[in-house]
Amino acid sequence: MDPKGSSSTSSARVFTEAEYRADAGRVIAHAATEGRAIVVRADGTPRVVISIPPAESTSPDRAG
Amino acid sequence: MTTEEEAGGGVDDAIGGHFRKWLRIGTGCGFAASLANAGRVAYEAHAEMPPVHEVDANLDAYAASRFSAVFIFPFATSEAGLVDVLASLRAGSSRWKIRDRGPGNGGTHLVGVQWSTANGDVSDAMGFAPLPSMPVTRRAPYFAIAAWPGGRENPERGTPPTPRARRGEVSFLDAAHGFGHDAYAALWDLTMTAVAGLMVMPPDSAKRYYTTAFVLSATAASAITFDP
Repeated sequence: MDPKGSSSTSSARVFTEAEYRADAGRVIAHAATEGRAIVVRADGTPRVVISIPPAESTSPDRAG
Repeated sequence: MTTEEEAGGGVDDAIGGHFRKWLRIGTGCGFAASLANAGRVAYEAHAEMPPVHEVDANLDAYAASRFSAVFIFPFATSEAGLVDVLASLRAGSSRWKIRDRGPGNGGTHLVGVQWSTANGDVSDAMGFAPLPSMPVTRRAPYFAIAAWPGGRENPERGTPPTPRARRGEVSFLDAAHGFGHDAYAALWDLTMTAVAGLMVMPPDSAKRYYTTAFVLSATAASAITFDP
């Protein structure tokens, strides 16, 4: 078990807000590939964590 | 350099993952389940109300990448908390409108949430809430707002059974999906059957909520400033 309690197994990269503004599509593409991407403001505070869990090969366990 | 842990990625993963699981099984909507399963939905969980101009910018970015988006507000833990979120959206950007959809059943009130896309189309957002007043198919673990922020990306739009598009309006019916015609039609029928099967007690109809994001108590709704 992770001593810090994180259950994450995805590889998130931290992007600066400047990088996000310059090419948001690249940040979203990273999230879509790796599961998530983190964008931080210039002062270091988190702006957003974009979570895009990747496609699963199994059929959806939906009700309908 | 801010690390992933400092940015709170683990908590967001837990909340976004929980919501995704619910989306796949809880709504009865085969399209929602399939889009979630296919990795075509972006989730943002926020520990506090984000600046609305950032919400707008993020939605524009998702639109450009053809993703649907779900904004989750785990800090809101009551109807009053949600009303504050709606007020913040409305005050923070002219692209957000809060609409009065009239009274619902049993002392409830229907509330619409609309967002204007970069193209100027009005997108009817979908609301989710852990409230008994919500239709059972939208009774989610957290308060959340979902939207299709893009344009007309559904080639099946207007082909029965999918209703025709209305000029200047978009919704999840316009979302990119990648299904062929037969698969799409089958998923549509499956969704209609599944949703009707869930909305049985009390008897209810999904049609009532096509342009409604939230069903709140009339008391809570009375605190909302609606757009005309």
